[in-house]
Amino acid sequence: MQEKIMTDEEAKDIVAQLKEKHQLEMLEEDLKDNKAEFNYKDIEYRVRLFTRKDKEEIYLLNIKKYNQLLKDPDILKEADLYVVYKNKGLDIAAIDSEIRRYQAEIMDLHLKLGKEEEDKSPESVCKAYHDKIVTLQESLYVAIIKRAQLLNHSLENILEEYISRISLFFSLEKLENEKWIRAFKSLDEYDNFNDEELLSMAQIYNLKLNIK
Amino acid sequence: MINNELVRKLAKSIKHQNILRISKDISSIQIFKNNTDLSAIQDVYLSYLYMYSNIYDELALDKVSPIVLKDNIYTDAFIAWKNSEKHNDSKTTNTAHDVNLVFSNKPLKGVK
Repeated sequence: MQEKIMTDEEAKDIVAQLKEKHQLEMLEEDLKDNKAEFNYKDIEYRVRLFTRKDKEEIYLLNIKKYNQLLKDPDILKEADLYVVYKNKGLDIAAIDSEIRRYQAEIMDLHLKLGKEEEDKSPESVCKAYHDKIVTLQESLYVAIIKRAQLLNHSLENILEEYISRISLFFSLEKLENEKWIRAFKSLDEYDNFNDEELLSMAQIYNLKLNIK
Repeated sequence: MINNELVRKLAKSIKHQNILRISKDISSIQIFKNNTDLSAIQDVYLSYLYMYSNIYDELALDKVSPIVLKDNIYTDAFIAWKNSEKHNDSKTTNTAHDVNLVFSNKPLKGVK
């Protein structure tokens, strides 16, 4: 009996299905608890939710960093970047209007499609709205990405990245003598720590647990 | 980073809808190990779990076309429509309430 040989497409499909199955299983694990424990180089680590004290400290660091960045003449706020780009012929305000227009059009189509679904209209009617939404969403994402790229180095973005990075210092703990203690004694020690693999792994959990 | 697409897929699944149903029926069974202090991802998951539970209820009552579960656009459209209906209903209720207030704010005869 001749065995049917799998096509490349079928093989890719199976790989994609297995990958998704694995991702869903990992997600189920992440959902079980509001903390995440893992082992790295024979040390037990955990990432936990911020306490109220952590949040206060992060808030104060946010203000401190904001004031520090504000004094730097090479770092521009978003509002200033709008002016700089406008002088170079790039209008971010126009992109903002474009984004708002796409969002309004998508919302309008959502409402129309939702009503058709409730009225149990024929699939072809629903699909026409659906396809228009898909096209508009693609244009919306392009505009959002364009805007994000232009404002990538704004003070606001630098601040957000800083807060996201240092927040891990507060939520990452290690097990020592059967007690959970902060993985780093100080922010300085955390800043000078070089093992990016551990930090990346922990940051993934930190974002899932703490960043909404 | 939270992968919304995957969270939605999980929340929409019959297995997870059953977990919600069982946790509602049997108080000793809870969805997460922690009872309080939800993590960001648990928060998002729970919102989707209840959203899909409402949609399954509407489907069971034949109040919406099954196309609603075909993909996220159909689902989001229906949710947006239901929310706008609710919003309009509450507006109507508030308007009626406002009318009452207008009348009740009128000074009574002989009262300054």
